[in-house]
Amino acid sequence: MERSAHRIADVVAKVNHVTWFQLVTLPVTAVLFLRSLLLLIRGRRLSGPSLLGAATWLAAGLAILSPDLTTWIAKLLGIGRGADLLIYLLALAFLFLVFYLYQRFQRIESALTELARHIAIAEARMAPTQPTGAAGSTVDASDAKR
Amino acid sequence: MNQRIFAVIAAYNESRAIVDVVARLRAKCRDVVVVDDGSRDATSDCLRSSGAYLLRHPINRGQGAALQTGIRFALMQGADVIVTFDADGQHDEKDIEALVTPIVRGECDVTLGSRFLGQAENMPFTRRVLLKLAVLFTRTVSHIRVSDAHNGLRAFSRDAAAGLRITMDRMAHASEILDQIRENGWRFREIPVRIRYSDYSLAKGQSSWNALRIGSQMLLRKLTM
Repeated sequence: MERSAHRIADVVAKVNHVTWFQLVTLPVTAVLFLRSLLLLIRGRRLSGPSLLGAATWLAAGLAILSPDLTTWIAKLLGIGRGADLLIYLLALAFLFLVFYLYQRFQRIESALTELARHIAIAEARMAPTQPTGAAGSTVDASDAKR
Repeated sequence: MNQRIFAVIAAYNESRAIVDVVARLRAKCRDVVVVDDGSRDATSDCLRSSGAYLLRHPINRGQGAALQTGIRFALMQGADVIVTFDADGQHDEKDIEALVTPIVRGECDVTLGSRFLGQAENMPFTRRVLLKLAVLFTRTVSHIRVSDAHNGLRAFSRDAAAGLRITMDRMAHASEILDQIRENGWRFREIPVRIRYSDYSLAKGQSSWNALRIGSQMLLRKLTM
């Protein structure tokens, strides 16, 4: 069993210099890519996030398949190494995500406040005055709108 | 005067002070609106026979949000002048008349209580320094000349109250109100008021460190707007 697994890996490695890392990650990215592609096709109209998802998984798969590709693009952009390019992209994606989530959070917060306000006003009631009648408190509870 | 004056109080876990504050207020104005901002104590329960309008946020949303809720409700009830009042008892209900009069007379749209024009009893030194810094900050960021930027005692005409949009749910709303006074061109006046600091109001109030957070929140907002 173990021998045959080794043999398969040897064969694959000989054919295409496939590393163990690639052997594990490539199928995963392939599945994720196909899944997002399927979602993209099934969706009625082209949506930004699903397109971005498919493109990301495709790019990830290509970058794993041939690491030289990222270096080639990096050189094209005047960046030294492919790994550096990935770090820059990652930093950009992170910043974008933070701003996006912050804005979204703010929107949810204000929607939540509006909801709480709506409930508070809908359930507003007027407390009756004390039967002893404190000075100046001659309000009639019946004139309070419910 | 035939104007209906509403006092609006935002209360969060204020069961110790709120009954007394509302009773004192009710002696001065007929309509008191208390917005319980999702308190976990008996704030709402202890006002059951206070004669005030009771509103309750199902969850805590902050003082700014609660004030906006109370203001909207007061407008729905036909308020002509709306006074905001702190729940912790540091304000003096006797100052309300001085705040309301210029608005009733149509001399201005908003009046702001100022403890630095008036009196501040038992104000700790650090609090004084911090508030003065806050005034300086407000003058530079909001470009509005006030002597006291963070006083919860204010009065609004019906029109001003209807135009007010407090979106800063938490404590930064004080500066937001000033911004809107300037943006809307409302005529405002500062009125000397008396603030009584008690151990209770100091414990309930903002910690000094919070000022830093409020300031940065405001700046962030100005940058992202």
